[in-house]
Amino acid sequence: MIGHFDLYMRRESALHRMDERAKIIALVGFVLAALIAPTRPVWPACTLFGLLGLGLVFGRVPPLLLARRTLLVALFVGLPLLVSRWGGEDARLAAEAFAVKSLLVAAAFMVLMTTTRTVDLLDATGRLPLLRGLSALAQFIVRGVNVLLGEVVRTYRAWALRAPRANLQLRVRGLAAASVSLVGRAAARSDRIGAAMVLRGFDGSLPQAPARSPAAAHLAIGVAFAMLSLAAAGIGRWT
Amino acid sequence: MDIAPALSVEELSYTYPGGGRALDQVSFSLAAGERVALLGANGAGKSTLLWCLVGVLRASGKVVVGGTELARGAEAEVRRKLGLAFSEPDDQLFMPTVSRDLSFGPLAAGDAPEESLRKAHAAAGQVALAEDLLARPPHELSSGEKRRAALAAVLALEPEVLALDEPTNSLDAPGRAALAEALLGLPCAQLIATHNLDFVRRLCPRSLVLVEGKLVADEQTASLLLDRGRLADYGLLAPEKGPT
Repeated sequence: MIGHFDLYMRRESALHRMDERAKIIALVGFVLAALIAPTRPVWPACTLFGLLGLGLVFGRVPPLLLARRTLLVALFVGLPLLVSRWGGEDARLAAEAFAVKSLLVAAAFMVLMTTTRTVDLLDATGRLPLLRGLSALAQFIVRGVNVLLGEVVRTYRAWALRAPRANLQLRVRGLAAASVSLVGRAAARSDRIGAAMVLRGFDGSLPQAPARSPAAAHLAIGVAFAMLSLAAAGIGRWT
Repeated sequence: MDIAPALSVEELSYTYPGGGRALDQVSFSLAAGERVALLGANGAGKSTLLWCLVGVLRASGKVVVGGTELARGAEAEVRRKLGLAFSEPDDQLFMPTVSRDLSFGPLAAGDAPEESLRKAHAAAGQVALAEDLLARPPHELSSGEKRRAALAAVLALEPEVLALDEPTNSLDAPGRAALAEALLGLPCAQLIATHNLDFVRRLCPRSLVLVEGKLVADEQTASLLLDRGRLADYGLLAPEKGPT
């Protein structure tokens, strides 16, 4: 394996073992809670950060890894926070709320992606009637992106090994040439993958694999987590 | 009483769209359960022949697989009976997990989900693919594991004839040995396109040789491998004696 597109980190943990559908329920509840939770008083947001902490503990997700992966969000929320210093109290509070909610939502997504393989996540969403077609398409895309990513890495390495001391202009030209050849190779590969599908009976519709039933205990935990998050946010907002 | 061959090819010819002759009046047949090597140097026409057998490339001549003639409207039946394993497994494993890839063919053929899963597991067992690999995405497998998974994906359709295109590519010696063991245990007829003569010596009692699209030899592998001069003429290198 030369490289692939997945944030999943293989580990032995309660959250890793949990049914993906239960995790999606928990995430949806948590995201809704993060969106409605007020930042004044601070306890609802603190409660949500605490619940997120539980996710880190039970998923054995290293906090530094989570911090690195949510760094991109920090860049987006950092600017409004900075600008709000000149905008008065209301602007400062709005920027603060935006930052807190964004971090909560992004971190929750990262915990889910770190403890769940992308294919399983897409498979679980594909069990929802409205998302079936979309999920099947996304699964193909993920598989395709992984194969192409392998090609990109191999092409780049082949190029870099043959031009270790190239100047910037040569590097740019090399990368451009490699990209063009990659497009050609990707097209040839998609032809062969199409042939593989047809040879095994593909007729335009994707056969659906049987689904296993989620464990009741897992669903209960997912629902409880979602309800707890919503309760904390709701009480904080409407009392 | 004559027994119908598993695969019969008569006067198969194919010309590239650009004009080059890739296959020229190729005729041969495979008996049920027979393992035959398809030999030839690079560019001899081995892969083209395999693509023609399943109708992806349209050639002139006659191809009959398990009593079904390859013709318009009969491609699906022929492809169900003749499974083709590509030279590059990444081209063949297109589903998000190995298990779903293996059950794709049976599901597409109309099998019930439980039956398709059973066939997928049985096919994985035939090529000694570990159960814990079935839940993984294909990109997490090693080259040898991908090769066996791609083979299992074809076997899940329970073909009467198995065609393999350069099956030893990117396999180390233990990987080749494991693949050979798996192929020896399969009951279906096999047509193995390769230029790995060590592999052929172990697996295939009979060999076909293609040179520039023409079938120039159809004989016992043992006698062919002894004739180093003729092998050199065919662009093949005789294997050293010893274990494969």
